[in-house]
Amino acid sequence: MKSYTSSFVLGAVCALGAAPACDLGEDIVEVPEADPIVFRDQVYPILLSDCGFTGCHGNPDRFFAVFGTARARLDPATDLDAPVTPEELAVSYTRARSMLISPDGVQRAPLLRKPLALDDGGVGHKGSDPWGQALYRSKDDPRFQILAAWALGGSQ
Amino acid sequence: MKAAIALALIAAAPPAAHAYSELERFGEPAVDGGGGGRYFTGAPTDGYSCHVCHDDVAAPPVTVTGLPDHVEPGATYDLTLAWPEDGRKYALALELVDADGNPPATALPALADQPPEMRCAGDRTGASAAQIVSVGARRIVYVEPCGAHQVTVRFTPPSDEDLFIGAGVVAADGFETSDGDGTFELRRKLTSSVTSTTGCAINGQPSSGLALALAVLGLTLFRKRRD
Repeated sequence: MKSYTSSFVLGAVCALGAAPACDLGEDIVEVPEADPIVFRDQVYPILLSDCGFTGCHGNPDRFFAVFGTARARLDPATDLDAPVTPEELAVSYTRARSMLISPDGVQRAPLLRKPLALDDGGVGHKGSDPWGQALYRSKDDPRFQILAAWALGGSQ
Repeated sequence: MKAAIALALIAAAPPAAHAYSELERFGEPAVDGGGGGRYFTGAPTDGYSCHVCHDDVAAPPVTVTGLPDHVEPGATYDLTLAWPEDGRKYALALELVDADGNPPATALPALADQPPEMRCAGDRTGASAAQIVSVGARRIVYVEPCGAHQVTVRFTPPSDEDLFIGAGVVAADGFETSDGDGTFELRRKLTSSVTSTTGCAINGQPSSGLALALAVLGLTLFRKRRD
């Protein structure tokens, strides 16, 4: 996957880099910094594993979507087992990064609150399992901690 | 030159998708073509089931027998799921747990006692299609898509705690993708007969609580008529 680094970063920059140049007046939204390499190496495998199902966030029509190997493919013609493509990685990154936007700060961003149990600060998620359980039952979940570290600018 | 390029492309092409036709693949990272450590049994230990990926365009007619409404500690239950021979490839993942995620004692029949329907290709001398795999504390019953038509699981609740069962069956159309498949899900809470206060019927027989309520109602109506 390392070989995708340059095209992934290029894709991510192309997708997000134009935003500051737009003259949107007071509607400008500052997208939090989010390390693309940490995303690729630590965050993406978690999001792909936990969210990228065809019936869930492996759907390009969803605001948050993630694509890749063994999950939904950005191009349905791509073989299920084929390695992640630079486009898939870039789209997954930009969609995940956009989920860090929150008027109340990154700590309360949808990417961190949607999958978290209500008892631990979550906001509810249609994707709770049929037993009513959130994806991450507490902030102590190692997967949640990796997402939070990335969102807040650190890494694990 | 063109032939050489084509040959190189074929050599570099990824293997055909198996859609997790081996349980071990669920444990592999998703980025490597595995399940990312997710075993989609639908039990509370991983509440998502096979339908999160597989289509549900043609639900398989799975029959379930031996599933009790209530469970007694120490009792033994034989649960059987069966499906027809309809040209599709069936795989199953099943899991029983208590509220803390601990499994009850779970076993498959000894190979010699397994009927042809539990064996690959439905062959009486074939290998068993089912296995119980330990994943940490979890015990997952898995039936590989090799042509079996049923699985029987024996379980024994160790205590008076409620149990939860989750099972998912995928009927694959054979095209090695998640499109065009059918899924069946079984997801239920098996209330302990020790802690149960619902008074529901057990095996079709009204419980003593329900019988008492009916008797009181009948007596009341009888008295009103006499008055």
